[in-house]
Amino acid sequence: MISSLYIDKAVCEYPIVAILKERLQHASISEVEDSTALYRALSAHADPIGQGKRILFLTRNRGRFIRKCPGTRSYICCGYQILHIGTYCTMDCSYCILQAYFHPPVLQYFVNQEALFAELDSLFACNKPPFRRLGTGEFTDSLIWEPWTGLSKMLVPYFGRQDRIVLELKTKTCSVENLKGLPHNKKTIVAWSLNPPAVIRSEERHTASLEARLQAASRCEAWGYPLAFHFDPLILYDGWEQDYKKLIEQLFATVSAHNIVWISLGSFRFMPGLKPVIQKRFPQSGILYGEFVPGLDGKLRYFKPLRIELYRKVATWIREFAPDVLIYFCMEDEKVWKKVLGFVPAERGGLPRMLDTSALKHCGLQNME
Amino acid sequence: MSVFLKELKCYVFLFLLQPFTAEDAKSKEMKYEYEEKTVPLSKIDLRDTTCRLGISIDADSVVESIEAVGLINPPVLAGKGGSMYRIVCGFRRVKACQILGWPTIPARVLPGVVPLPDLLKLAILDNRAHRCLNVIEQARGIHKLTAYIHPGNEIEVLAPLLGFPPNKKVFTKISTLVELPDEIQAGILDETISFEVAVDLCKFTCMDAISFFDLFKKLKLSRNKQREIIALVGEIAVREGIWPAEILQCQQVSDIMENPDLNRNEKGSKLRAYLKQRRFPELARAEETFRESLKELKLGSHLHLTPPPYFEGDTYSLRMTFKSLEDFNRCRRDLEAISKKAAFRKILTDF
Repeated sequence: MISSLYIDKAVCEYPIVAILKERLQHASISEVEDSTALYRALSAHADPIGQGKRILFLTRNRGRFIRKCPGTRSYICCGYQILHIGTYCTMDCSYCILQAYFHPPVLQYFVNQEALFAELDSLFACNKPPFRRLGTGEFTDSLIWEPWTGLSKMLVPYFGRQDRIVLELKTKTCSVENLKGLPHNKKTIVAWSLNPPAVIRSEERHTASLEARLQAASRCEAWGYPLAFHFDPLILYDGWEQDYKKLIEQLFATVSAHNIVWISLGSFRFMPGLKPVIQKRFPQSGILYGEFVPGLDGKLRYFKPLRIELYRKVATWIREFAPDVLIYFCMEDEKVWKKVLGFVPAERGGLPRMLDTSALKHCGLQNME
Repeated sequence: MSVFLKELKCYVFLFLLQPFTAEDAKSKEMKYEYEEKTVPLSKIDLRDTTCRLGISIDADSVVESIEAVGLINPPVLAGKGGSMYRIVCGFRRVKACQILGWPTIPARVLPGVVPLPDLLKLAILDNRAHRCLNVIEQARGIHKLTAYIHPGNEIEVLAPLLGFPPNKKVFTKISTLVELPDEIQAGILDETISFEVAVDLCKFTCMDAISFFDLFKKLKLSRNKQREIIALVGEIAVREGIWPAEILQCQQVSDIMENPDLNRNEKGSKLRAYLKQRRFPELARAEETFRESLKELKLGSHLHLTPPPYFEGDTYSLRMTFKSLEDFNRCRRDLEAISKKAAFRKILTDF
């Protein structure tokens, strides 16, 4: 629930601002010269990270809308490109890196979308675009904005009119109503992060239940959208095997394997700075107390043999239902790839190429080679 | 000689450093008239610690002084209903006079009912007139006065009064210390544990905190090692769903602590190794397996093979020491032989 709406005076005249003011009537509204007052109010709060989820700042994106995912050094990256529509999230996952990524973290929505679409136009006009996949779900959840902004009603048809780039909307919500009936032309992949109900209950506050996420996926499939799923973060706890196996059974009982463009696996990892944040904000959470060791990028990860065992089992269970689906790891090294899947991405042209190829096949992207 | 022979009217001025309440804000200065009286010690409630900031009353040094030169500076008392008095300033002086067997004591008595925050401020200012407050006194001052301060103004009001830096983090850390048992609070003052370690202990129950404290008293570890032990034990407790005290009292820890063949440093090292192994069992197993594999390789003292840190990367390092060209060539031949050993290939594939 948004309690305060701050509006950058420079964007007051944008039509979307009037719409948002109308839709967020219950919130207090302040027009500000810049973010200083907002950051001051947030910093004084006992829980700025939690409070940042209730304050929405409407402003302009002063940088580029399309940017490279920060990724991480020393591990194999998928080459994800971000469509930077806004920051932060209304949901409250204990493990969320955004809690420690922005200082202070606050919901921002960029209203200067004429610049966003101009960047998209340039990209779509490229004879040989530098990448084929773009997503909004890196610095925010892709669909939390739907009830207020209806952004997908603009983005999905826009991507549907070209065949060079595919858009991935990644979410933990079930806010898919706006996607119904849009001319997507299979150029939008709707993706969900999945975890067993036990993890959702304990670690993913205010997110949709597993059942709701799967039902939303099923609806999107019925509307013809290609789907993707992200088992990220995978968490080790007593009973994880049984829970993840059951989750996978539920997934394939709800959607068809042939309509899934990719499934990613990523075990829980975190910057050391996130640890005190989780300890303070989620004192009941046990996720920090696995066997984490410093990775090559400075993040803490499960000790590698534990990750390998986790991935092996989850990949095997997925393969039972979907032998041909593209499974990939988010930020893992060659040893993990080789030990779990039997190959390294370099043997198949690299991970970005593997994902592009799957997008070509499922989404009807034009082959530019 | 009459008990109230010496009566003299004086004034106590309380200068408010910051307003405590909206009403206080109207007046920056409060003035109380007090009387110098001789009060029977039996009428002073020594158990009333309302205005006391220190942990204990160590009156020994004051006893000697009073015995030699008398009570130069009479304590300040306030009436507390009936005919009894509460000590505002001078706990050690009153205690010393009691030890010396005085039936009465000269005192400065505040009139009527003085608001509690004013009594506390007087006690604080009296102490600060001749020394800085220690961190426990600051913690107790925060604890006693916070209820009288507008929420949000605590740091602004209390930092100058109690003498700590006007910083939210410092304020939060100091204020948590009152939750610790007295024994640990005393341990901060006698430097058995550091301030930071004490703050770490605040998140545990009293029983757990005392278990840590008892251990640190015995081992006299550095601050970083103490903090490492607190973190390891705290995390093991969460992982295993048990109390930290249970870990610190388990058989393995007792065996280390009671081993007569180990000195204090050795006990500290063994304890930390045990806790690390219990916190990271798979990593400990892998390290042990690696050590076993190295034994099979028989590298000798001139070759040292090191795995990637935490077995996370894929880069091993090899250190070779030699004294001469002949020695160097011998190492080279050894390396050649090692590269053909199955145990070496196993290391490179297994880890």
